Amino acid sequence: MTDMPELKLVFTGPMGAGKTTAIAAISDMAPVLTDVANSDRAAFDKDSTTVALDYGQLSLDDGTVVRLYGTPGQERFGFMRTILCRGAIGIILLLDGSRDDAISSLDDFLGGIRKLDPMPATVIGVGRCGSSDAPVLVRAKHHLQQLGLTLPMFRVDVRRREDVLLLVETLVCLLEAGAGPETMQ
Amino acid sequence: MTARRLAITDVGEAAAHALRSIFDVLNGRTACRWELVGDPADADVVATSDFDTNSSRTHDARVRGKRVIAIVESTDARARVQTPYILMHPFRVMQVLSVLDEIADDLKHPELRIASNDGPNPWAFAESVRALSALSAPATWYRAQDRNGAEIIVTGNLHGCACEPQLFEQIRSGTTTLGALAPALVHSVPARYVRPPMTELLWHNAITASAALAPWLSARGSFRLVRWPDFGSIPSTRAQLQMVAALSRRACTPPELARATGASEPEIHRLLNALSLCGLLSVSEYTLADRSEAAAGTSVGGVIHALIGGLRRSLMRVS
Repeated sequence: MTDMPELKLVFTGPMGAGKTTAIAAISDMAPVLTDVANSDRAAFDKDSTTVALDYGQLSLDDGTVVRLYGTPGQERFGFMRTILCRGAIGIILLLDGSRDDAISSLDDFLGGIRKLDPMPATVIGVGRCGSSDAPVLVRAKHHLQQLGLTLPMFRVDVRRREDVLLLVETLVCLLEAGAGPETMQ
Repeated sequence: MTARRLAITDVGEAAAHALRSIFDVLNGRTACRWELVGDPADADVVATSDFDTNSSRTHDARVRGKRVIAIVESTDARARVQTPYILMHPFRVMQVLSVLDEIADDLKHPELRIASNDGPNPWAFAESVRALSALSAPATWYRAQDRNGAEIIVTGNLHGCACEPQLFEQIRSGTTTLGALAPALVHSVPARYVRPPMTELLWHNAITASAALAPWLSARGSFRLVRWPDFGSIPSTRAQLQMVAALSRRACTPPELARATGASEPEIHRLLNALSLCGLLSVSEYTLADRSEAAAGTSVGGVIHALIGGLRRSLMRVS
């Protein structure tokens, strides 16, 4: 047994936000997916959706493995988020900016993340929102300010690997600046 | 209480009368005691409508080197306001109060550079944006030009801007310098113009303007992030991400930021300038509490330290 804590990055967010795509963009291995046919097309119109978790990994030079987890997006699997996020060194929250409920999703997911003690370093990526002055982004940024949170929130397209790398690099910079679990220090 | 002298010169009768009346009402409620003087040579601050770059008045030795409040009495598109302090007639009392207090604060720091009419001022555009943000005049258009006469137009509420695509590329790359904004008559925005997000315009303008700290920022200040810039829309370097992450955790002076991130002084200045112009930064005087907070915030545990290096190498491989 090693006393090295589990190093995991969690990608979370509502259904269709791009968690599976983001993990696939940076994982060293083909991600392990638990997709099934989407039975909730009213929530998001896509063929399949994650029901348990997505899993990928990044192997570092010294043999350390950083596990990449994607949480299921559907609300009924919400209990999995708490399990997966517990002890994470960082969380990347992905949102779909084209949806009317983007701000309430932000609220819901942040609420869960803030309950974690200690709160992991968190970066937010918003997809499908057009330009950087899109109303949804402006509203989301004001919402963060109202909550008293100074979290990075970027407009991203997770199909672009460099956008996913930007989110992870920002998370690394936050960890470097002292954000994240105290137990790791 | 410090006393400062103000001269009103070359201002139309109605505007001058209104300014004097407001002045009488405000005096005693401002940050310093203001005294009206007749000769600009005796004044610390000159309020004038004659702020055109080529005018004899602004080249007058009695006015040069002083803080100037530009009194805008018309929407004269030819005017080039080379001062961060602008009052539009008819005046609002709170705007006059705000400008007087800002100047009083500015005069406490003689090392701050005054916007000059000599050569291109890299901060002319930024300083006029800062002045405009205090005016909140959404119905009015403002125009700035570069040395070649290419124009960018900006709404009075700073929510929108428009220019030729080529000019925006030059602003992004820092290969042009915009002059100060001036009121403009714009009937319609030309169809060929692009409408970049205002924050992107301000970011690119400030980050490319100068490697020195902007005139309105003090090297003695302690800076803290209010909100992250959208690095999904504007390009970023790792040094910038590291600095913004550090500023999001605690207030830092420029030297503390250098120690925490290893960034160079020009990198730090450029980033602080851009964050400040975009309204993403709060500034306070450096205190002992800041010092202990900064010291407490710089230790990163061994596991994390090793992880950061490993992750960075791994991400470089992936990219």
